[in-house]
Amino acid sequence: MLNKDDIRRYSRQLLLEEIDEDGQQNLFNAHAVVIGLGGLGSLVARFLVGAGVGAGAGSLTLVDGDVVDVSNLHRQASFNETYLGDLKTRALHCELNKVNPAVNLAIKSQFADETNLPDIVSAATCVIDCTDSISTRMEINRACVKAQIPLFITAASGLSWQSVNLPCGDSETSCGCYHCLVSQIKVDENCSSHGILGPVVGMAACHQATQALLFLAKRHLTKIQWGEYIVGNAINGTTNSFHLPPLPNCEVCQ
Amino acid sequence: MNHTSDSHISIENSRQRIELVVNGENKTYLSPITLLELVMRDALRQEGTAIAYNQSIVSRCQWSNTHLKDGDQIDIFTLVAGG
Ligand SMILES: [Zn+2]
Repeated sequence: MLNKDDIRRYSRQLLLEEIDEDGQQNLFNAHAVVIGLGGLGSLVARFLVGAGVGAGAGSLTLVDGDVVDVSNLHRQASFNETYLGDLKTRALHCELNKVNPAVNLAIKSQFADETNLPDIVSAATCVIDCTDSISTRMEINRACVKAQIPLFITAASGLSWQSVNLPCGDSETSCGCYHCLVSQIKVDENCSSHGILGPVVGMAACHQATQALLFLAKRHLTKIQWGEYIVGNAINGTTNSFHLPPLPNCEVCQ
Repeated sequence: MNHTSDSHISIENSRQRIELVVNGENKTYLSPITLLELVMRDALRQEGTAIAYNQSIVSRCQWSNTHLKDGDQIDIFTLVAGG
């Protein structure tokens, strides 16, 4: 049962059948993990906290070892000049507490890697990959497939954003994993050289937060699409969606 | 109609014209052609390139044995990873 304060705070989203009271309870009890607190993660976390993810028996874990830099401020909407040089985990914790102090926030001020990821993702209801390199994304994918934890991936660069929801074994959908997508592709790792417009990464983050919230509210009853790779073009405002099939003999998911 | 290229095709009578929709645009190619040959022919940058064939992503190792037919839809995009 939601109390009077909860009903008031979450009234606008409770009106949606995709959330409603059951969904809100699921949001309270969800354990969500946001990895990477840049343009994507700082905004995704803001929406999850606002929606009450982890405000009951659950939690919201924020993972990043980076500090706030002045060059971040054009796109990383949750930070401001008072946090320059501070750990992003601490800065975000401080800001998010002002939004919704009922959320059980946990911070891990470290860069996700092969060794700490099994611990970071364990017990998560879902993992939200907001990192910025292929190699880290591949390690997150590997850890989520191994632990069978649904994974929400989004990326942005230039004026393009891309996104995919991966069931990671916890669904009947036959789709590939992130390794299936990128293992054959030579990708230029240095993304910082391509530039990015603030609201473009914001569009990606808003999509990712929406997908994660719909899943966390209704779990596998949600109608969100799994294994569909979305390519968004911020210039003409279009998106295309392509099925991501499993790669035969994928060393991670097959 | 371009008569020069038509007569050129009639010489190569084993080759047929097919229309493909590449990134939303109708384009004419000579069949048989694979996905890899299309990428090579159009001199597309292969670094970071992903391809969807009729709305399904095709891994790079399958480009050379994906034979294109008239009306097929090809979407070529660059994978991004920033955040
Ligand atoms: Zn795979």
